[in-house]
Amino acid sequence: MKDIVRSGLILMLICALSAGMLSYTHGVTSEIIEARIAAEKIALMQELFPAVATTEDQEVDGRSATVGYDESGKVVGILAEGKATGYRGDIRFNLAIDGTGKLVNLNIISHSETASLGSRIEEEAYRAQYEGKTVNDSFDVDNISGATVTSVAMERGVASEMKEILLRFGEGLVEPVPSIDITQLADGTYEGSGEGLKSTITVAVTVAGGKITAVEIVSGNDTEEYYTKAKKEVPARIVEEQKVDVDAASGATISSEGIKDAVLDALQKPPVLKLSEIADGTYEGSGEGLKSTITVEVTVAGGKITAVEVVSGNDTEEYYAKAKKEVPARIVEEQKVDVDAASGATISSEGIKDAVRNALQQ
Amino acid sequence: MSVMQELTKGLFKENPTFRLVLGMCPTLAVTTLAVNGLGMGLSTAAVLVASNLVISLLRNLIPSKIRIPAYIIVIATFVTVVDMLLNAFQPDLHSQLGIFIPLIVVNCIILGRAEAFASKHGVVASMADGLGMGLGFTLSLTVLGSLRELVGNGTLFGANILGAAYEPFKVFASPPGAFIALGLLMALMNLLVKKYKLE
Amino acid sequence: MTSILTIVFGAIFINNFVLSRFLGICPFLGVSKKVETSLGMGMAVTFVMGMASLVTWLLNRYVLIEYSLEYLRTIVFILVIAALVQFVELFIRKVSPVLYQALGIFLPLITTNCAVLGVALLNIQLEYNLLESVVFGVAAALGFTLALVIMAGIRERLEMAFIPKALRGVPIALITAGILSLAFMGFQGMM
Repeated sequence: MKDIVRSGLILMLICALSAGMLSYTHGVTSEIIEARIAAEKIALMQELFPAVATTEDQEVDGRSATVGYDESGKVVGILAEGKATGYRGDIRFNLAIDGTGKLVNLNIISHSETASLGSRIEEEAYRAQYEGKTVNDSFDVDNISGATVTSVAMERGVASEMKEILLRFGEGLVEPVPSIDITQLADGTYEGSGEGLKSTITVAVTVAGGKITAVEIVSGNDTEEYYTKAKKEVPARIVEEQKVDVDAASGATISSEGIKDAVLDALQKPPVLKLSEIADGTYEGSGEGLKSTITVEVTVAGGKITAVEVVSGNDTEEYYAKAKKEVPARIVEEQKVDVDAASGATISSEGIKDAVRNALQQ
Repeated sequence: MSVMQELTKGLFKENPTFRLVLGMCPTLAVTTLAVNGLGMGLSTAAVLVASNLVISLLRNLIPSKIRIPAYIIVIATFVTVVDMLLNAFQPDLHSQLGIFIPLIVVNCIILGRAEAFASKHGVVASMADGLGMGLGFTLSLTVLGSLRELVGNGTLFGANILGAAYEPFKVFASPPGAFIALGLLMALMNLLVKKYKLE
Repeated sequence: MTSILTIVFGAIFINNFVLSRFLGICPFLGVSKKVETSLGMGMAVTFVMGMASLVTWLLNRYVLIEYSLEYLRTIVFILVIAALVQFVELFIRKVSPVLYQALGIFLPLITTNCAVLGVALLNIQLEYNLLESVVFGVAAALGFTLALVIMAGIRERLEMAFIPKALRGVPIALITAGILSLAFMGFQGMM
């Protein structure tokens, strides 16, 4: 018994001495090590963005980035990792974006793309095509022949990752996409379009009672085998999960993303009105003009809009008069609400259109 | 044995690498460049001397039953200290040696000498033993590293020796070459020992 | 699933712990004289490495990182491994005294097997999650066992061959290992 206690005490003594020595050394060396790592980071950032004076590692909303600041504290560079789903797996890359939101450098970290085809994204010449682009530019660069899926994945991936990175670290350089609350959507049919692999895909989304009840693919011309799979799986998932960002059909990522983009596009616009489904009668509705609320009365007979009368509203006379004259007439003539606005009187025109829409949605 | 003999035995007669066949893992792994071999050897030597010193000091205090865990704690402490110092003051060497710095703690040489020598001898003798073994280890690592760097890369300590026309035997810089080079050097050692009757 | 397979094949063939990463050389040279002892050693090491990967990963995640004590990693890991080996020793002694005798001194020496501490440290360096770490630990040990058994097979035959005196013992074993390592390099293209 005494032996065990003695052994235990001696071990504890040795541990204590060890701990003491280690914390002392740690205290002395850790500062030096951290200073060196910080200096290396600054040097790296300065290579990409010459004006960098200090750097900071940040983590926002699940993404981390190194942000470089110049001497006045302004953001002059962001270095962050991005990911795209390529032909054979994830493609990881580093994006270096400067303080004006321009892409300075694209560097591939890892990928599993086909050798001498998709793997050519590593080449200097390919990557250089992305330099100088901002989120508002088109990312349609020259594809790598024989590696269409990889090329398209990179174009889409770099564009969207750049946006995501700037949203979090770019201090106002990019505006966030408004999130859609499906439960708040008005009933109706929504139409929208998105880019598939080789064609534009249009969809019609039906909403009833705050839920998406159907997603119909109206047109599109992607490669048959992938497209069919995407067409079958993605709309069904959207209806089942009641959200747009569902899993893509495996092996048909880009067509799936195209369908999802189309649905998102559709839901961000007001619903398409099916005039034939509206009962005869006179409807009243209002919308916001430039300076006042505009109220309209819309008469429907036999599935057609027969009259649109602006009842009240008080916008600036010269614009308002023009809008009042042109927009209702166009609506009756074209039998749709989304007609061209009166030129020079856009906001008043939109106000009238919103009012008509509002009236017919009841 | 005199202190001088303790110091020199590790260099040739009881060279840890070529004669005692201890500490093989770092020997093969880091000797792609002569400077890495030198750095690893000296780091190991530092830990050897320090741990032999402490263990010899405490040899009468540590009960036999717990001696292995006690030795491990002492050795691991010094390895961690060396790791931190290298990271702070020699970052290039630190990143070249990588995972093999913390692996010094399982280098059989250190635990072996602690068990076989430091636990039974005085402080000065133990330090000499540690230093001797450490220097011997350093010598063999540097020799092996120089050989592999020269043949496999055409350089020695970074300096281009064999000229631009030399087509390096890349295999010597890679794993198979490590095994073969060490095997050949060891055979050479055996021959020399026999010839000069150093046994 | 593919990433787990990649880890397994990588550890056994492409980056074999002994023949490519140089971890576990001492027992590789010491125990690989007979195939049976090699197998027994391999199994013991597999168990230790699997458990070590598990325990060290958990300790690293929930103690070392949690309390910013990363600089204590080496000490903590080696102590855990030493304890695990003691445990395995007692276990084998109870379950198979024959194996215990055969392995002899090499059993406690698993503590100083660089492969065990090596795999624990590599798990952290490669940023594997818990499952990947344990899989890596077991696969690495299997690779170690494979190299060991192949070596033992060759060495049993080398006993009968004529070897020049200077090369006998460790030197010829090393050269053999070199040729084995060269052969394993052929697996590089597998992925």
